[in-house]
This record gives sequence, C-alpha cells and structure tokens, in this order.
Amino acid sequence: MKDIYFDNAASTPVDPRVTEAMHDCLCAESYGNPAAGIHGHGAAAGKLIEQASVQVAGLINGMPQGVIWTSGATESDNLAILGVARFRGEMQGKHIVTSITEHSAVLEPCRQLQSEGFDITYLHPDSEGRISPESVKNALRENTILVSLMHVNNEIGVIQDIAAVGQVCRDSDTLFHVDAAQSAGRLALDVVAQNIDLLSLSAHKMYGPKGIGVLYLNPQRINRLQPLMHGGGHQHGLRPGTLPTHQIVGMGMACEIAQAAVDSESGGIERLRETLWSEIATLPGLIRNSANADTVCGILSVSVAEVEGESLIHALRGLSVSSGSACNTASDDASYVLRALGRHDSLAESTIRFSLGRYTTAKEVAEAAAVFRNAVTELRCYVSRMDEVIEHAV
Amino acid sequence: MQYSSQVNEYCKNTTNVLAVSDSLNGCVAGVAGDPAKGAWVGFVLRVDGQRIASLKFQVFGCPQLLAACAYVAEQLQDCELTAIDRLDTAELMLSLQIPTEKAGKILILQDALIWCRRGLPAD
Repeated sequence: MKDIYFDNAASTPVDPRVTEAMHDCLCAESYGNPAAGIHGHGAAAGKLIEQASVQVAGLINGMPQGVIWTSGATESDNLAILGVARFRGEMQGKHIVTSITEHSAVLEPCRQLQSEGFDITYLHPDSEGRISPESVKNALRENTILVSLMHVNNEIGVIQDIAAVGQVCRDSDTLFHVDAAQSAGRLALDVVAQNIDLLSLSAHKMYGPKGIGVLYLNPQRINRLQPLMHGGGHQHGLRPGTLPTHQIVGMGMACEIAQAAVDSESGGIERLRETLWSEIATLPGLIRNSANADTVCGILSVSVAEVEGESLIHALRGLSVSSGSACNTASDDASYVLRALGRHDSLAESTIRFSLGRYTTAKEVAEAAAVFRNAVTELRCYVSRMDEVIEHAV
Repeated sequence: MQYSSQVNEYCKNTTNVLAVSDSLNGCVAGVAGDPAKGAWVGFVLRVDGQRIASLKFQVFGCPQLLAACAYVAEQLQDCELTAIDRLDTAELMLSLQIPTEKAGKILILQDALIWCRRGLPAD
C-alpha cells in the first residue's frame, strides 16, 4: 500500500501547473544567463525572472524590486538576521528580539550574533505557543535593530499576531522580519498592512520546487544588508550567484496559484483537519497542542500520553507524519518548541504532527485516523498493567 | 531510524505481553528503568519447579526494546531457570540486529529479568 502523506509542513508535492511551467522554461530559448541582458537569450531569461518577481510580490502585496532570490527560507532567514545585524549593528545598535520557539534557521544565526557581541532577547510563548505583542513591546530597547518572529510555527501551527507586532515595531522604528515559510499560501500576507520589512519565503512549502526561496525587503524601509556571499554582484550584490531561471519560474507560478487559492483552499483543509481530530479525539490521553489558539489550517499537533515516541512513529507505518521525537529529527533532543509549551520530554517525544495540504483527501484522513487509533491502542497494551507489575515487584 | 526485519517482525506479531486477563497470583515480578527517561521493562515470571512455566512482560520503550522483550520471553519459555542467568545481551542484540547505541536499553531488560530471579523464594 502506498504511504499516505501527512507531512505538508515539511514539504509539499509540486503542483502540476508548476511542473509544467518549469518544464516549459527548461525547454524554451531562455537558457541564457539572466544577468547577460545584453543579448536575446539572457534577456529572455531575465524577463521570466521579472515576471516571477511580480508573481511573488502579488502574493504578499509587495513590490517586485524587493524580491531577493535565495535557496530557501533557511538562507532567507540567515540573510535577513545576519545581514541586518552586520550592516547596522555598529551604527545603530546590537540588540535583537526573537522568540525561543523560532525555527533553528532564526535561532542559530542569533546564536552566531551573540558570539559576535550582539545581545539577543528570546521571548517565551504562553502555553498555547503565542508571543504577545506586549512582550515584544516590553523587550524593545533604544539599541534594538531587529525583531524576528515566525508567522506560523512549523511544529504546532500556532499563528502569531504579526500585524500587531508589526505595528509595535513600526511605532518604534525597528525593522521587523517575518519567517512566513509556513503561512505563505495558507494565510493572507500583506507586507504593507502588516508592517513587515523583511519576509522569508520557501517555494517547496507551497507546492513549488525545492532549492528556491525569497527574502523580501521592503524597498521603502530597507535596501542595504551585509551579504552572506560575495562575488558576481547579482541582485544588487545582496545575494550573488547566477539565478536558477527554471526554479524561479516554478516559485513564481506557485505564488500565483497560492494567491488565487489562499481563501478558497484553507476552508476545505481545515475541515479535513477537524475531521481527523474528531476521529482520533475519542482516544483517552491525547493533548491537542495550541488547541485554544488560532492555528494554520493544515497542522494538527497531538501529544500522546502512555506511549513511547519512537515506537509510536514505528507503529504508524504507512503514514508520512512528523514527530517531536529525537529519533525523527536531525537533533538529539526532544522538540524545544513543545518543551517551551510545558510538555515534558517524554510527552514531547510522543507528539505527532499531521500536516494536511492541497491534495489530502477525506479517504486519506479516514485511513490515517484508523491507523493512528490502532497504533496507540496496541502500544498502550504494553503498559496497561505497568502499575500492577511495579506494585507486585515491590 | 531503520529497523531490522527481526525487530519489525517481533513488533508486528508480539506474544507474551501481560494481558488484562493474566493473573499475577503465584508469579514474581521484576522491573527496571523509568518511563520518564524513555525505557522501562517489567517481567512477570511463573515457575514450575526449576522450569520457567511462563514469562510475560510489560514494556515502555523503543521498537528494539519491545522486540527484545518479546524475543526473550519467547526464547526462555519452558527453559530451566538458570537460562535467565546465562542470557547474553550481546548475542540477543546480534540476533535481532539491534544497533550498539541501544545497548543501554537492553541492559534494562536484563536488569528486570535479574530482579525477577531474585524475587523467587530460595530453594
């Protein structure tokens, strides 16, 4: 039986319309280097990139000239944080505000900056995973140069009130960076209305290809960064390197599709997610993470008591899901996001993230619910008499 | 993580798990480990003279530990009690192709068996 895919927050399948656009690009007379606008082949590639920039800008209500192409959201986050800090730090201040539940693509550059003499304030979320705009406001100092918060948390799906945080930042004239890798195409994004100065996007989280992303810079607020790489002068020297035309075309198409689908698609995905939850919630000992907060439509994070995390993942054979278990990640630790919510290590390890997407069907939801119920029920047989055995042993 | 076919098989078709209907009367139990630390094993042993009449278990842990408990319970069935003392964890790990980083969990299994044995009345 084919595995059922419930890991859309990790990566989405490529939309066939994106595949077609990329295929057309690769087969067309646009193989020239887009930086070589002096001849027809280069100019043709350059036109495709301009068009893709318009498509990206359309999704976020931005300006095409603010689009910087990167390899993905990890690079975008690094460029935003390191680039702002290293360019502005000496002149304007060395304090940055972020939260402890950010993606490691934000946390690790912040740690790097600490080693370079910067002071980082790590805000703590409430028990639902929310960072309050008040806590951001209270953390700001005269030397704060940047606030970096994710729009949607990748593990629990909680939505941060970025419009309110954006207002706080704008009122204090502090730059505001948002990692929107999980929200783009799922929630409305408006860099103007939400007062966002820098925004990270990744194509493969919105049905585009892997290996391409964007850092959007609001041209009215910021036009200089310290680049991470040097040589070539592409993209105003901010991110040099020959642009991958076909991937950019793919991301542009993914953004255009997302813009058209963002309102119509999310309702259906949310209904499927709630169906999934209602079909598994009858099991005792389940904790739905961020149950009392607004969450993005596709993510359902469930912590399972009385079940060991690695065995749970093993028992969920046939389901492609993500886990808070260390065995399922590149790190040796249980999820720091779940621990920040107050889950102890054992419960964090037995947390499953279902992430539904554009192609998830009701049949798949029903099958996943059945597999999950059976797995949890079977694993609990192994500990159903644990207390009696302990007592008997004593 | 990749699991050996033996581990997969024992996890899929597990026998000798202590069931709700199993009585603890006349049995000795031995436990080791801590669920809060990710691994716990409890064995329930019934003897007939110097022979293991039944060995059942409860376990909280990774798939390798689950499989190892099922394997040991199966292997020791109807054996002399001294087979518990002779349990070779290295051989057990080899039989199930359990990676060395899981050795600590297998020692918890062995500890639970040793506590079982110690719980038996002296001859």
